[in-house]
Amino acid sequence: MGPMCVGLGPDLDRRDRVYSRDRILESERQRPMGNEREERAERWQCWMRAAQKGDAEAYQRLLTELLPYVRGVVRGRVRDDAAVEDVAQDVLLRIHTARHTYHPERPLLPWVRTIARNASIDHSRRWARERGRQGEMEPDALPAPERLAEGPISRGLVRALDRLPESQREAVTLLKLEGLSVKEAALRAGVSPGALKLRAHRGYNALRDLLGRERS
Amino acid sequence: MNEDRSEPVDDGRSEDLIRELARELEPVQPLPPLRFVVGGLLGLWALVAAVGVAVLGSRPDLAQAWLGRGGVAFVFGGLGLAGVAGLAASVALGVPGRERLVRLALLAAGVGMVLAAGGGSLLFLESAMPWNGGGFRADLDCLAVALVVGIFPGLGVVAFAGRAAAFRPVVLVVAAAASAAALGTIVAQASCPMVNLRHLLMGHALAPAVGVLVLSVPLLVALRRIGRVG
Repeated sequence: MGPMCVGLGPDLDRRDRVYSRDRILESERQRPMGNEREERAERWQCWMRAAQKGDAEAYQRLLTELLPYVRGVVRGRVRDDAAVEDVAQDVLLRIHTARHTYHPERPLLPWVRTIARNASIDHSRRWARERGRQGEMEPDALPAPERLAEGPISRGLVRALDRLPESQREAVTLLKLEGLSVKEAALRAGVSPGALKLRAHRGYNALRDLLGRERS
Repeated sequence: MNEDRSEPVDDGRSEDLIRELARELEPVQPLPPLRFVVGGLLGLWALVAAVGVAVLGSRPDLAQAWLGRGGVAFVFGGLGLAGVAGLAASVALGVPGRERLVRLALLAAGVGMVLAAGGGSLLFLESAMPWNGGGFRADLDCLAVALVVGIFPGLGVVAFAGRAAAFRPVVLVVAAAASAAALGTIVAQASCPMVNLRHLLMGHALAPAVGVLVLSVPLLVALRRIGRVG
């Protein structure tokens, strides 16, 4: 049985501590052994509440324990094994940016499952679109990289890229325009792969907003 | 369960990412419970409706028009149900993990629309009121009232969804637009003195469909401008 929220960090308020201790005592008294899944769900819920209050330790434990679960949900929808880890990381980023949408009194897993499912659906759509585009294009018809900025859409993209903060622009450029792997791009930028991925994710969101505004 | 099938395939990148996310963690204020949000939006609608009726004036035979003919009560009871339920669905569409609520609310909205259609059919079959009267201009006036009143709860939904995490923004704004116009048309009915079936259908009962056509795009643009979509 895990420690749940007890003594996890200084930021947990009394209600969470009491809640956790009560739950532990209650489960020890009433529940037969082996109800691990329920205990785990309660523990995660408790950690998420602490994370919403800024407890980084609880948050790191939560994400670490959630990762295999997230991979499992993603695997249900993404067939490509190589893409599973990328989508799982996208899910972690989405959990991070949407953490305020979790309601502390509600179960955590349906919330996580929906985010993971949405990220998987997004990935599948992108994959299908890209496959369709590749199918339509002959290799010779692809423009050379130096000519990419000449088209009207690309000019918009270049303008939007220019408006990104330096760190995000670098991450997007290295990953998407130069086609480096996350590891290579992180080495080039001199940051950890996680930090690079975070910057790129923010860059994609900002680009999407900027391009959407330009189109409308 | 899915998670039981998972194997450790991470090459370290995910752990890096988790450390990075934890390092930059800041406290956040959770969104209010959805029932408060929906209640707030209905309160906003009630306020705008009261102002609207005060400005436009209420029809003299209000009680008779609503209660005297069963079909009219069905039409507007149904539209009211569709409006409230649609509003709840559009709010829930902005929050991950509330799919069950979305499904239930959409079901209730569907029931509301069926009731409204049934009421309209009843009026038609019973010939409870004359078919003709008024004109296209009168229809447009009532539709405009419905849309003007409806835009307020519609924008309220968008403001909430902008703070939340809407995955299906188009579905969200379509539901918001239809439900907002359905709520708006109740105000139009409360102030409209016309008693004819054609106007009831064209100027009032069609308001949700017109709301979708007219309000969806501006609401979607507003959502994309202010909000987090994805």
